[in-house]
Amino acid sequence: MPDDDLIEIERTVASWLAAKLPVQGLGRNHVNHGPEIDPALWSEIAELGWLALGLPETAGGAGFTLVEEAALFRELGRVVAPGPFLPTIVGGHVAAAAGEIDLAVSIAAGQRKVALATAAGPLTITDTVTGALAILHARDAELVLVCDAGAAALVRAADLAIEPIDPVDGSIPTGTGRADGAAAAALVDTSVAPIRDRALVLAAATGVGVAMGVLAVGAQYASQRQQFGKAIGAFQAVKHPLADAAARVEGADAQVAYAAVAVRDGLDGASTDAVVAKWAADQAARRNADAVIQVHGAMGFTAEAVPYRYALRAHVLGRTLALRADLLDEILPR
Amino acid sequence: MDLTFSPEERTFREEVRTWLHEHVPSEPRPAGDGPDMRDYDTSWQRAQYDGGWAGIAWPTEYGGRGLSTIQQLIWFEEYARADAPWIGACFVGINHGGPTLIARATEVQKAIHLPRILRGDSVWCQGFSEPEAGSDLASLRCRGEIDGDQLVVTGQKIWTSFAHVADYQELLVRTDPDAAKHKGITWVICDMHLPGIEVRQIPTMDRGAEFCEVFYDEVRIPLANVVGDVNDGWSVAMSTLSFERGTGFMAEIIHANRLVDLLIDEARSRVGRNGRPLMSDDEIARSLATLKAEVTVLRSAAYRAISRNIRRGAPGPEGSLLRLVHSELTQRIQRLAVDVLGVDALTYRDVREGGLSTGMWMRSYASTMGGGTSEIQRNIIGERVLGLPRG
Repeated sequence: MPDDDLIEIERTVASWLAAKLPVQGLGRNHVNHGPEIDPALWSEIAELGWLALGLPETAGGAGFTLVEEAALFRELGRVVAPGPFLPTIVGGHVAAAAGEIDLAVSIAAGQRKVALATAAGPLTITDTVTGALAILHARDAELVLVCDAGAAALVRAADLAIEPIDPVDGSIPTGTGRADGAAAAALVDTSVAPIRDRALVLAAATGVGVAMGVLAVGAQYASQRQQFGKAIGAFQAVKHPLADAAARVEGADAQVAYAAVAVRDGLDGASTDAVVAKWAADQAARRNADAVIQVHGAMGFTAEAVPYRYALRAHVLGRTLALRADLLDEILPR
Repeated sequence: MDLTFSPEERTFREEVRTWLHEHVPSEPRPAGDGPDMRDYDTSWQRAQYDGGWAGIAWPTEYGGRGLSTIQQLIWFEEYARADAPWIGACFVGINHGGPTLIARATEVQKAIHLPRILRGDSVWCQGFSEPEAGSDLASLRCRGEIDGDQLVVTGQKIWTSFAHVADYQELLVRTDPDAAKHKGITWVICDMHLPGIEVRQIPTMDRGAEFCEVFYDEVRIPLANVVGDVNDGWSVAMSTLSFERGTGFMAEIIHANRLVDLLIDEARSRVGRNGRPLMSDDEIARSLATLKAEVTVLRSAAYRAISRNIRRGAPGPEGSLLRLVHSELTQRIQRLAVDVLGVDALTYRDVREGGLSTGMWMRSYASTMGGGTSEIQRNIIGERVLGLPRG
């Protein structure tokens, strides 16, 4: 249950994001052609210490845990925040756990751009990395975070022959790449630090934030939009899909909270709980965005209203770290 | 959130596990609706009482153990793990009537009824719904007229599980027909053996026969049996319903986790027409994995709800969220179960002990109706959790 530190982190992060990075429709251009995130804001975020929240104090961090990091990511999801938060924060942990303290400090200071790979086929991570990759936050990346159930590595982006693609979510510059025996700049075995579990929980926390954020938008719209002489939220055909969205939030949020503690404390079954959290959050984010787009009617189909931003982020989260079928096969090995 | 158990709690779990291992009845719960069913349920309740395991979180002065909600949770977890029998006829007394009495009854009422419920001496049923008052419960019409120190009840109740073997009923009657519909209702303890009561059993699609309707013809109930004040029964009933929608079904959530594990074992051990285990089929495997994920999520949500209830001292509106998810998930589990059972699902009988059968699938239709339909739960969530306007 939230303690005082956690509540304070949530409050501080939420108010900063509401002021500096509120969720917006993308408008007539559809695609965000600007920088991934305003470099001045990214520097400010680094100075606030968000990128080092859970790093040990010996690596320049604040010494908080995965539980507090998850609270941060939930708020980021709630406003569909841009920025390579996930690979930067998890990448800092990889460097710190690998004993590359200078690297960890510079990543957490926002001075090195880290991207995030999802395996696009068979992947091997040993001293070197081999496999086809889809790469999020690829633009200007110096390092790419690659992880599986056994190990996590930071590899040099220059070794991956990254080709940019036209991204679905303009705030997440995306590319494809291939590692052919790429040397790891930092390598951590899961027995040393459960990097993938951490990444799954934080991606899941983002998804819960997306699911919560879009539900709040939908509930507000349904309470205000009038048709047939009343607010449409009074109609069960509108109210009930939103109730289902609330049930998905309740479950996914509880699972993320449970998994964060389980991974932090190294409890039995923690990895499965992290995978289930990712599955639940992906489902909640996507299905809640679907429901709220429908509640908005034709307005929901436009790129000017915000539900579509949530739908795109949910879509990308469903392709972050692992696909749904892969998660299910981990939850129940044959 | 603290997910680890204290040394005392771990010791408690060991004690529970040992006792259940030694005492869970070896013979299955009898099919059908006769006296042997009631005897089985009440004997098992009595065995739990004698072992010191009845009413774990109930106050000690009424025969309970006065232990924590966490210990209650541990009991439920071990109970499911031991494949102990369904609570059956003791359900309403233990899960509805008893908790309502603890919350709202007089000391005399508590002293009379609570120990008997815990010992399995009395079976309770719930007289809330009527033919014209289902989801719109507050429009109930069963009349209760005050005559001296008695309440004279005439009317009908329906969907009254176990009425045919019950000793007492938590009964809602309209005592002031001129008041607004949520006013004017009284919650009273009705002795089911009183003259003027007629019970008719209603057969159900799962071949169960515990479903009943009850007719009242000038049944004279002492006014001393009223719980709370006359005409204040709605608030008493809501304390029962919020319990039912809150953590009252914790045992069922834990049981759902157990059922999915049973189903996974079944899919691993069964061979399909291609000669390979059913689990090698992508559709079956992914559907089972989805159910496994869903019951895991529900367990986490239940843990969190318990943790909140402990801090708050009462169930919150998230009880409706859990109940909605649990009831629909139960149906998906049972639907997949009959897919896994294949042609073995052509009989109602249990194919595997612990609840995989066509009968259990049929029974799961009731899960989205009892205690308030899914539609009512969604209204509650929409209005009380999301703040949407009333319809």
